[in-house]
Amino acid sequence: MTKRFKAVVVGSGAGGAPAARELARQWGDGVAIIEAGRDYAPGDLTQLERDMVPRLYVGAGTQGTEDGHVGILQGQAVGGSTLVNDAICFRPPPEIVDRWRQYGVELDFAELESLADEVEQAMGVVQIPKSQINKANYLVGLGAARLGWHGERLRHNSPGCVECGFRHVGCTYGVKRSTNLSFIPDAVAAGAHLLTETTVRSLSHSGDGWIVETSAGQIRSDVVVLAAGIVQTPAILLRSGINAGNGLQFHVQSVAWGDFGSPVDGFNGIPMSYGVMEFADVYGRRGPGYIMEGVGVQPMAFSVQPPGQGAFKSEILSRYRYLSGVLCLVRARGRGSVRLDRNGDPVISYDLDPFDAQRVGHFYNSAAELYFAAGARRVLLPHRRIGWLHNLPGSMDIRPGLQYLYTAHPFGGACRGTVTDSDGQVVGQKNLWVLDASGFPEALGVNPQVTIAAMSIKGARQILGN
Amino acid sequence: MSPESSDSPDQPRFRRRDFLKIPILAVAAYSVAKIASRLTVGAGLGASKSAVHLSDRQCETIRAASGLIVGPEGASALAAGEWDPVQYADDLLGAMSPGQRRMAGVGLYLFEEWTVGLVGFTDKSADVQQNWLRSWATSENGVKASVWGLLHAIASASYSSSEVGWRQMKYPGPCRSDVGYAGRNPGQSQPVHWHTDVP
Repeated sequence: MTKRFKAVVVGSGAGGAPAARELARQWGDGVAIIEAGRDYAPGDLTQLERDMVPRLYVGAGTQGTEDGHVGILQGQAVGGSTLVNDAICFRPPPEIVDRWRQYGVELDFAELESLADEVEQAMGVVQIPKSQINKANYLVGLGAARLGWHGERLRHNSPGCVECGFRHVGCTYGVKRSTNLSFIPDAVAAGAHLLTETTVRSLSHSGDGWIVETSAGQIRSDVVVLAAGIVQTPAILLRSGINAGNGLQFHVQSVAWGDFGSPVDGFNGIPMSYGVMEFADVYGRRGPGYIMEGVGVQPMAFSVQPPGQGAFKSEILSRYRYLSGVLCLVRARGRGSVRLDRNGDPVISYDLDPFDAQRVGHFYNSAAELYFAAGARRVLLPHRRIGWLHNLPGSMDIRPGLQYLYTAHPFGGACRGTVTDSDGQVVGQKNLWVLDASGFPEALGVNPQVTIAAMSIKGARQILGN
Repeated sequence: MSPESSDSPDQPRFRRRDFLKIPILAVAAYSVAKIASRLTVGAGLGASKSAVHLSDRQCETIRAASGLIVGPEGASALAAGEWDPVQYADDLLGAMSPGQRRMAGVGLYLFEEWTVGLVGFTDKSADVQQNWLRSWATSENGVKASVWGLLHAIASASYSSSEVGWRQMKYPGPCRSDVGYAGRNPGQSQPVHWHTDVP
């Protein structure tokens, strides 16, 4: 028998969960949340990367662009990417008001700020105290301070963190307030149904509502909210005959490491706790457009990044305890697309824009300068043609495939201003909404979970108002 | 009329250029046979007993390349059976989409067989293998670079998530003590003497 709901929300991450909570507060058990992944209790998260990465990440962590040059990390479980992210929270940057207006999207920033307050309260966002900054991140702050660069302790949604270092494979202590431990329980308590390990294939019209084709059969719903992430949201639209998939953007990310004379033990403590905003182009800054953040150094996540082989690789692994890592988060200009292959599965095309490549090179120089200022003996980049650095690298050959690039923050594919209106409703499709980062018309410039969640609440209230 | 055209069609005979075709056809037939047996990941004769998505030949390729990638300590541990990248690689392929898995299979085939003299990677000497790997790592060719990236990821991830890899890296393991390891207390960061200039 076909199930029927007032609203179906596809996805349970930063986009889906807040919308589901809002809708469930009004419509109770008339709301269903469909999630492709499993619902893991904190105790299920073993801290063993070998076991957890394949379970918690889309494609066992192998998802990437079709040319293999940029890895795309997305969580696949109840909580989505909020389950496996480093819990970093930034306020919505005010610059998005003018930037998004170029795409025909109007934002009320005061309203967005107010919604961000609600999100931060629900997710328990606090600034990380000095006492919880680990040595690996402190060295990032020290280098920045010695260079006179603007650095700051970051804010996170893990109040009371026990500093085990394993956020990227979920928080086994249940402290990180990812959406599976914040918005989703609220939604379920309000009556929402949580359907896990269920995928959505396509949508079709049924009067003013929709028929949702899922791996568990058909579901009818008056309203559908798509928040399945920047790959699956456009893919569902495309399989439903709705034009989408263009305008994909990334925060292009890459990590550099400083090698210090005494143990750093970056696997211990809060993985990401210190940021350098010197080169950002948000919050009034006029830099080239990237932020730097200290990173955790867990063995498997670390070891796949620095290239090299043989004795060189062996030496890198032997220096593991002595390394501090810092990543860049480049607000990339280049755009890609999601299309379907002959089986209807999504394929992601993306070419590294020359300007973005230039800024990755800028970051590698900045990272080297920062670590030398902090006292590093040498610096390591994830570049196939560059070994240990004892000086700044200067001009560099940055091309697809030569360095390890990835993104944990993809945007677009069902952009506001083209696929949807400013609020997220799909143009020409009544009662169909996109409320995740695939609706963002361009890359944000900072870790996006708070902004995504705030926009999701805004969209959900618009649905209820309608 | 050319001299050749005077030959009777009922009496075919080999000409010089036909003889030249023999080795080409032989190579082509050999290649087709190899492709047929190895291109489809895990299919055909010789599929590994333990691997679902990899053939025996691909398992050998991954073992040989992995030992060279992670370096001497890892290679010794591999020889001693203290870690094995094949199970990890097989699981990884299992998690890929069919399209990705197909591409990975083609990539592994090319890596093994894209060579002069029809001597596969696993049949080369260690020095030649090392140079072969290095040339793929730094190649301008996107396919070669991507295949090396796959092999590097398999070797690095499987080694660094094994106990022998942890020993080399001096990584103490997870905090939890109920998942097969001793466990350690969280919150044991190296001490930081906070400099007054650091905000």
